[in-house]
Amino acid sequence: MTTVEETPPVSAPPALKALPGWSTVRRLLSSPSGAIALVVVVALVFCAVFAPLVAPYDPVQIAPRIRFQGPSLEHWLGTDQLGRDVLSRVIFGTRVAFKVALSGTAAALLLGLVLGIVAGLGKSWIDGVLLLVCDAMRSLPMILFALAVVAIYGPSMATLITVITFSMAPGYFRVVRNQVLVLRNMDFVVASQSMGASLGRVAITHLVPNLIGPIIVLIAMDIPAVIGIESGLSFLGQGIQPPEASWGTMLSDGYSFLRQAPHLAIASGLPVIVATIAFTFLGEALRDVLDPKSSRGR
Amino acid sequence: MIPLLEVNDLVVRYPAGSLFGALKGEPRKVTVLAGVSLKLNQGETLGLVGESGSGKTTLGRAIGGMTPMSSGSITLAGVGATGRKDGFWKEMRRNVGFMFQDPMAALDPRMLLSASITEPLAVTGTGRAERRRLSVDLLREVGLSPDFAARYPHQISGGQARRVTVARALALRPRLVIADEPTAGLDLSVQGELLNLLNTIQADSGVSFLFITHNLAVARHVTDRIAVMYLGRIVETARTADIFARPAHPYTRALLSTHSTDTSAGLLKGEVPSLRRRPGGCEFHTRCPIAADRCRSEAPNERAVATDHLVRCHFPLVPASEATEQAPLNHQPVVRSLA
Amino acid sequence: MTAIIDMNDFSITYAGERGPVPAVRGVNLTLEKGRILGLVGESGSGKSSLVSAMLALLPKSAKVSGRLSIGADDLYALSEAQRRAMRGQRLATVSQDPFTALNPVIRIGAQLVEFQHRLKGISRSQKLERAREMLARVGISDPGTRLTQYPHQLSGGLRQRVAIAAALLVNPSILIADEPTTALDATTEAEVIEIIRELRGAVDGSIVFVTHDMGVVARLCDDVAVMYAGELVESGPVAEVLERPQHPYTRALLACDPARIETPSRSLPTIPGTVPSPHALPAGCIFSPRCGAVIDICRSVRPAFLPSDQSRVACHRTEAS
Repeated sequence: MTTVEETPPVSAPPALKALPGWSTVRRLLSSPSGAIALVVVVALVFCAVFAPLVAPYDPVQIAPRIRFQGPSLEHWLGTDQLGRDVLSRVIFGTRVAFKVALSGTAAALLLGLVLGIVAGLGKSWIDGVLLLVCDAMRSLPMILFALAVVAIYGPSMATLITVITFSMAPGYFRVVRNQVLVLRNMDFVVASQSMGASLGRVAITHLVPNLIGPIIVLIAMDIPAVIGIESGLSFLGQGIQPPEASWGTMLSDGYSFLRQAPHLAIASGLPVIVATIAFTFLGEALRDVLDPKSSRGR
Repeated sequence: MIPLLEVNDLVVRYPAGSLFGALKGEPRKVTVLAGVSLKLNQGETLGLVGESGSGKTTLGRAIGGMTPMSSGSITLAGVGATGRKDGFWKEMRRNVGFMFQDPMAALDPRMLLSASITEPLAVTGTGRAERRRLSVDLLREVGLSPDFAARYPHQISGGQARRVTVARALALRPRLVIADEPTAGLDLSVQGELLNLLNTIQADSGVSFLFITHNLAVARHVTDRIAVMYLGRIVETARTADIFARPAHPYTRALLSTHSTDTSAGLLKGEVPSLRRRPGGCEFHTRCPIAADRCRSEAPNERAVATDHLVRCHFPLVPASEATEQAPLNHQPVVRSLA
Repeated sequence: MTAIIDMNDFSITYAGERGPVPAVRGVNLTLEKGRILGLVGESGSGKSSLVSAMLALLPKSAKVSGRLSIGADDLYALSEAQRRAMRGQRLATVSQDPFTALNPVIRIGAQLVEFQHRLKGISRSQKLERAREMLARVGISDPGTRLTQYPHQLSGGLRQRVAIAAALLVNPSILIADEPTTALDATTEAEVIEIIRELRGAVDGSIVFVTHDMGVVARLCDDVAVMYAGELVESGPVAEVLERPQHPYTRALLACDPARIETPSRSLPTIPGTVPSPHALPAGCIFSPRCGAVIDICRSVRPAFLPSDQSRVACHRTEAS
């Protein structure tokens, strides 16, 4: 038998793209906002991971003699009310923000993914119960829920991550469940089941790989919100506790000394804004890149 | 000769309709297949033709174990099944390969073709290395070069995707392949290649095909026998040549006439009735050009008009020479209003 | 006879990731008033691009060259606003998918009135009356009820008829039907084709019927144009082209059609090879790599599109004979 070599039609739009890989990154870099967002996010991640190496000073080292100093060559962003180096605190604050944001969303994602697949594939009563719980949780105002949990368990990073996990998970659950309901009726899933594949096998080989794309976008879009929650709770004194550096606690300090040293509030507010915008832009750029409809730039 | 596949009085009902609809007296279940029986011999190709809503795809999926049966039985190569949870399905699945209507939808977009093709083997526990080797063999068999193994579905054309689904259907070396509209959406030149490929495979391996299609022109060339479906029933079964030369059911004749230049012979008026409101009596009477009173009240049974030629009609059309002896006396053609 | 559509050396090039994609090249085609043209081609033939060009719906990345005239107007010499006006008044289309052509949340009547928004000087109730008449003309019984219904309450065949009625309401000089029957059942398809045939008088102009089904062309069309890999290879009266095809591609295509093969056969004819990618077009004749009648000149010189009997053909073998 002869081998047939057909070339696919040039403009054939792929139904769904393959896993995000190098080409995704390349295409991401080709849009200006995507490129800038990616660079900023990578820089922030670098600061977070290598905070002890990047930061010029110890973030909790008190030096009462140099309180409220403005930006200078020794202290680029000045010092705070206890004479601590603001730049170092901002850098360590990045670490805290990312630790909370990443572990919180990762836990929420895992929870949402597992429950979403169970709800989507399982019996309809399981789906019903999970949906009810999910909707009940989503109807709670997040900040009130957070304050209530903190009131019971006391403020700490662990509490913060728990709160974030439980407030983000219902959103992921919803997305995953709806996607699974679509996917389970697609021919390749039906085909797999008709071959005798178990539900677990179907979930791992077909569902998860096809869910990853939309979820990556969702996460990038959600991280700013999570950073906001962390900063907000810390600002209210219900999150990260001093002396540990967090953007929220620093902002709270800056607020107290706004008259004396405005640079404190600016220096701690700015990273929140930058990180939020960068992740939002990254999310949007990722969505455009991963969305098959826009992939060929018609 | 024992047939490879025997379907007996297969009924498939779906739950449908709302509680609100039920209050208005609408049925809560839709009968998609209303008692289908058919036989398929080893090495034979049976064409299943009909319009959308005729239940041909559902019948194919039920035989492939993808749609739960409400009643009836399916026997394949001596192994019978009467329900979806039936333990026999596992054994039956080894003997059935399925080609989906839309080959792109049937391939996981995030899965390499080598993995897609050998998925039936993976499910039955064949090792990874063995599967990779077999995937290359299967690709060759369907006329694709081995480097297709490392591609993703979006990197191949529609015609190639068809071949890939053929390869997957063959992976377990089944005795029956169910091909659901295998040429839908293909260009004429590529369609020929695919049909020739299926024919070669059948000649080499003796596999049987259940060939589901709405394209009578294709069915005429590639099938041995044809079963015509309407509203979830087989209304006529005969050897392919007989279907074309001596269609006995008015519906078959109408279907055939849609493809000829001369449309005066009998264009069907009206639409296929809803499955939720099946007409009484003969279900075709609402569109039938020769419907009589009896057709509205009494459902016809299947009867033989010739050897291997079964038809479900009170007044089967027969060739002009025989018409005088067999045409019923009370036959009164009815002029139907425009639908 | 007046030409409704006149294309002269018309080409369409898309900006692609891997450089320009010449999707349609040097098409010369004339359609006279009152005739139905069957535009035939397989995937990659460029027929969809050509249809978009006729409807002035090409994407921004497309560059055109040559001339495409609708009546007396050179479509691509007009301003964007003039083209848009043309689209609403003189061009109408019936698309492939009757399920997406109509807005699902608006009643049929309101949609049919909205389609007439460019008709000045008649009242809403007159427009509704026109819509009712048009529905009756496309063979819809009880048009008054249909006007108050939503699209999902109609079957596919009825919806496609509503789409045809909508297209005809604007009195187009060109009606472009882009594979309007592919999504329909065989019996419904036959009905829709019958309706178009009956309504041809209602179009004060011409109909372009895009299809891949030669049987439909034979039943419905007066003229046929065969496209291959972005080029027009043969055009002429249907009877002439289907009975005496001159281009080897037309011949091969007709030979492949299972409906045209008299004796049932398990071994169907095919066209060896594949359609060339627009990025790697062969030199000379576009069909030369797959042609059974290829001669030396085919591989180096692109054949001109010349009259031959009643048709026009782009083939060196025809020129030679």
